[in-house]
Amino acid sequence: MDTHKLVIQGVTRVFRDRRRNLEVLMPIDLTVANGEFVTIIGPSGCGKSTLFNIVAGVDEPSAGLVAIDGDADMKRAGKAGYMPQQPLLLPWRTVEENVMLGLDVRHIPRKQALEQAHELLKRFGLAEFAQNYPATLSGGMRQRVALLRTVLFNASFLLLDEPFGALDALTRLSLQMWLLDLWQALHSSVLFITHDVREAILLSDRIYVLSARPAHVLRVAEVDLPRPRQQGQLALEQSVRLEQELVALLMKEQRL
Amino acid sequence: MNSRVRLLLAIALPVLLIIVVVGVFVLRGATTTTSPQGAKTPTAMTRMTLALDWTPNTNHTGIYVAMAKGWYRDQGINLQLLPYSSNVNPDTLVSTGKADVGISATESVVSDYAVGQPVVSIAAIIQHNTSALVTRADSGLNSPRDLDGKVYGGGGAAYEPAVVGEIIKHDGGKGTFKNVTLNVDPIQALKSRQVDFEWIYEGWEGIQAQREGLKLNTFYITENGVADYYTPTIITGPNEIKQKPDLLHRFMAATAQGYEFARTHAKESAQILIDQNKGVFPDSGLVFASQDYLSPRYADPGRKWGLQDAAAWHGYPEFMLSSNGILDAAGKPVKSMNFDALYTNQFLST
Amino acid sequence: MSAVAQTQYRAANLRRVANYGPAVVLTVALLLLWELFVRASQISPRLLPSPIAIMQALFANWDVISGHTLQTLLETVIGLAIATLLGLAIAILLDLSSWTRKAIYPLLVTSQTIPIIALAPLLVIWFGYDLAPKVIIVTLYCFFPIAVSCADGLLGTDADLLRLMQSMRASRWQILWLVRLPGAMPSFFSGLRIAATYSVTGAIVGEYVAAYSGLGLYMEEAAHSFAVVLVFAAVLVTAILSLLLFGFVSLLERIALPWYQGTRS
Repeated sequence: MDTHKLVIQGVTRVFRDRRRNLEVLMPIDLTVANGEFVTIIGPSGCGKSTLFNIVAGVDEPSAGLVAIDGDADMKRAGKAGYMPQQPLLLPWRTVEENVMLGLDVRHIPRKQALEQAHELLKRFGLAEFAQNYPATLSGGMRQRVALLRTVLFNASFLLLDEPFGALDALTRLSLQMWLLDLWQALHSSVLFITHDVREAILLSDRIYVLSARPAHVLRVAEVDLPRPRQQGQLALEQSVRLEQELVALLMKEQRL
Repeated sequence: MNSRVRLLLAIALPVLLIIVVVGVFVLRGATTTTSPQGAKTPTAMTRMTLALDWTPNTNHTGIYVAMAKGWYRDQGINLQLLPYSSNVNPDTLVSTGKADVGISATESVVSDYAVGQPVVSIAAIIQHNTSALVTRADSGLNSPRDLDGKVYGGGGAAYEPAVVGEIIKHDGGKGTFKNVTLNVDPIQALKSRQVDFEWIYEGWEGIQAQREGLKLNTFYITENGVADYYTPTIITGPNEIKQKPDLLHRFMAATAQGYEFARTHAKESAQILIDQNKGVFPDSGLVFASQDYLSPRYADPGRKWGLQDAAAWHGYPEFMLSSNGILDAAGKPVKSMNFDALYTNQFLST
Repeated sequence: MSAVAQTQYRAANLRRVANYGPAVVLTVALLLLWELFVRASQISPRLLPSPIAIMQALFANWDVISGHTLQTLLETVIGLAIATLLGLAIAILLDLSSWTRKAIYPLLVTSQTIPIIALAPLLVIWFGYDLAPKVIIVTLYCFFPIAVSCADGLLGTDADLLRLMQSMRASRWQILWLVRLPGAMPSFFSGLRIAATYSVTGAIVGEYVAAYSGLGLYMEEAAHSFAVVLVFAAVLVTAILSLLLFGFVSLLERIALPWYQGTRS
């Protein structure tokens, strides 16, 4: 079989807090194929971010296997572009310098890194803000800049943790479309977290539904809508049905 | 401006400030206030350091005269004055060898011996004690026995209560009073009536009080039961005496010359003191008046300057010891001492 | 910068200038009160001179006082510069591990409690009367607020940001240099402002220990010659120096942390 971008097999995560054991993940199986857009949804506090931390190499599983590009033993840090919920732009750096942060870490010479950052900004319509400081940007702009930073670091595999959660509905929509453009242009593999079912349906190829803590996979749903996606497709009957099914599943978990 | 530029600027500006300040400083050739003698110092001269006990005043006139007239240079000495430090006294500098000679007083010399850091007095700058307890003329405290129970603004030395108490008792009082340690100009302290009496040098604070029109009752301590003793004196360390006797001879020769000149040329000497210490004496009148008072008192008429009598080194020190005013390094009162080890006239030409 | 941002920037600058207004008004009012009090109460000029007398004395003696001022200023800026570097280094050291923190912190605090009177003889005997003892004392008093503030700033780094950096494979030192130190700069400047305010006083205390010249020595000489108005003149110069240094640090802060200003004043 051709190697998936990401394979997670039987991964559990237990936190030891003095005498108690907190089981957060219990076991999870998940894959992301090359170029696929996969979304994880689940009730709040179920451990989605913990899973992300493990994939990003910031945390280690208590048991199980995590393989990126077929390799389960290597250091995972740096193999994915990781974007936590907050944009976390460094306020003392310009937009340009923020976008190139990942390259800075990789010791790429500054001039070269700035050029690449600028290219990316131009390509995705943000060139005029290159010299701005994050403090002068709106929430939506900051998310975009953060996304570009993530992409510049590693365009092939993106881990996006609720990037649009804090934005208003209209901004969110325009950003969702923008993200899809990005994804299509770069042919990335994306693992995406959200609590918004409609967003999941709009963006993804497949959706994993996680249970409440300790989290395991309740359901894997295929999203059969044609690409390129459009907002209007959410009104189609199959979308509505899927949405209601997933929402019902989540509501049950939320109550538990 | 991006972060790189900001970083560089934030570092460059302070560096620039330092460079500018250092530059102006060097260009100005900012000189010390206690400007030493003439600019040319041939390398054949011996460097010698003298630690001052106070900011420059008329007790030091002879030294400044000798510097200005080149008498130290003539003796092959390049004399450097170490300025007054409120935290380190000349006794410490002299006994550790950081200074060759210094200026101190009998009380300190006795204390130094007691704590095991001895210095030796090699000349008396003023032959008789010129200090006094003073009260305001309008205070109604007209004799020492009136000082019982009153407030004394002192310097915090261990011997002060004993000496002051003795003066009061000598006049028939009980010898008890409130001792407050002050770091304030004694004249102002008296003026403000925060204290009732002070212990001052007649030649400096006394003169200043006159100039300010503050009338005082003056009780000279040597007229009120305290044995005469030397203050200030020139001191040196025992090691210095052992290792550099010739240097000390030459130093004392020039210094004696300076004070002998100051004895007979009050005005000119005062002017030298002022000129050698630019900016230190905004009121030159004080210096002239003080010098007029002090010049004849450096030594009694017909007697050479600087000589020390055994009586002065036995009487008052014995009194200090017997009133438990002198403590050893462990804080216990010293009961006896070899007073003759405290001084020598060997470097003065008799 | 966009046009909107430019207008905002200009408005902020005007606001900053206007910010000094109340201080100026209050200072002038206090000075007037002082002058009136001295005239009305006929208090001795040797106890409390009037502001006008102080100014006159300052100008009359400026040639002497300026030399001392330069000396004190030199000691101050060099001492402050060393204190800054030392403070930064110690903050990083404290941040290295909890062991170093527990080991060093008590020593740090103790360093501030050493009274000058204990330190002074050692300083004079080891370092003499030149620049060194003063610079040492300025450094001693100024490095502490810088070290402590910066160390606190380093502690306060966002955990998510750290995770982001780790996911990018950043080394410990990279994280320190790229993220944690810059993030600690607001705290660092807080400490630096405090240090700058104390620095001139530190230099003067140092001059009480050992000095051929400087405002501290000048004040002692003036006091012992009963020229109280000159003491006050020197105090005035000291105050001005302190204000200038404080202003300089504020300027640096504005350059280094432009975004931070907007969220404060």
